[in-house]
Amino acid sequence: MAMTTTPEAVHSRAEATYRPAANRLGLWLFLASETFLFSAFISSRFVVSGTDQPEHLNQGLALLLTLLLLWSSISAFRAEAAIAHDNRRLFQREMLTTIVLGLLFLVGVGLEFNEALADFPANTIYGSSFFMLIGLHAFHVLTGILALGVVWNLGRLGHYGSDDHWPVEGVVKYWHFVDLMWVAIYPTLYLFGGS
Amino acid sequence: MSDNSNDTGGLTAVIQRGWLTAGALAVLTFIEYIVATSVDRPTLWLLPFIITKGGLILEVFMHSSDLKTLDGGNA
Repeated sequence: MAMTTTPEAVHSRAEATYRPAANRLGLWLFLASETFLFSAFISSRFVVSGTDQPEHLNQGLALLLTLLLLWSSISAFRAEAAIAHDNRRLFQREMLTTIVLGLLFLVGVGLEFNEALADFPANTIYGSSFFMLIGLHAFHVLTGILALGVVWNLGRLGHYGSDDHWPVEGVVKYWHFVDLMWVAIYPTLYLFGGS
Repeated sequence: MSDNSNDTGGLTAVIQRGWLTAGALAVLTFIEYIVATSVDRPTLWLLPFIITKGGLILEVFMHSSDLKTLDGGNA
């Protein structure tokens, strides 16, 4: 009885209760600040060129990139659900799938960069906002892949379980955030100009 | 910590919800693309798609409603 009421035990219980909540709040505040950053660059696209867009945008590739990111979102979701239910095998497979899809997305962005540079260089009005937005997003995809890689590797080494998977939850939330930003960036750069 | 879940029913239900959401997002993306390529000035037409897709991702994938209690999701 006395053992559970020592100051150390009380502190330990309080820490176990509040730390995940504090982590979640911290992550949401971080994502909110990132939203401001993306919003600034998205709005700059409309300020510098309205809704006009070049004719030579590769719509097929952009749609493919969108679907790749969507697919990676469901695999990340499955990974988080799997570890929350102690299914380690599914967790590792889905994390790996997410990483591979993220890498494919980056390859696609590289191809798009190469193609777009020929049509509208970065020093043109539309080019400046196009490459800034795509580059900013691709950088977030890259950091997401690195974080997913670290969490996947730790999971492979036996970390995480149904009662201790905050790092998985955190990195998966970040990955969904990257997908969320693409939901706004894709029409901003490729669709608002119309046919 | 076992490899196999002792709550496979719960996991299946959660994953099913994820697939349904992903399916809805894919359908919305295709419709969004068709609207954008067939309408002359599609900006206003596309806003509902962006809001709906964003809302789905925030609610189902990111568990934004857990912000009220700061509880974890997917459990």
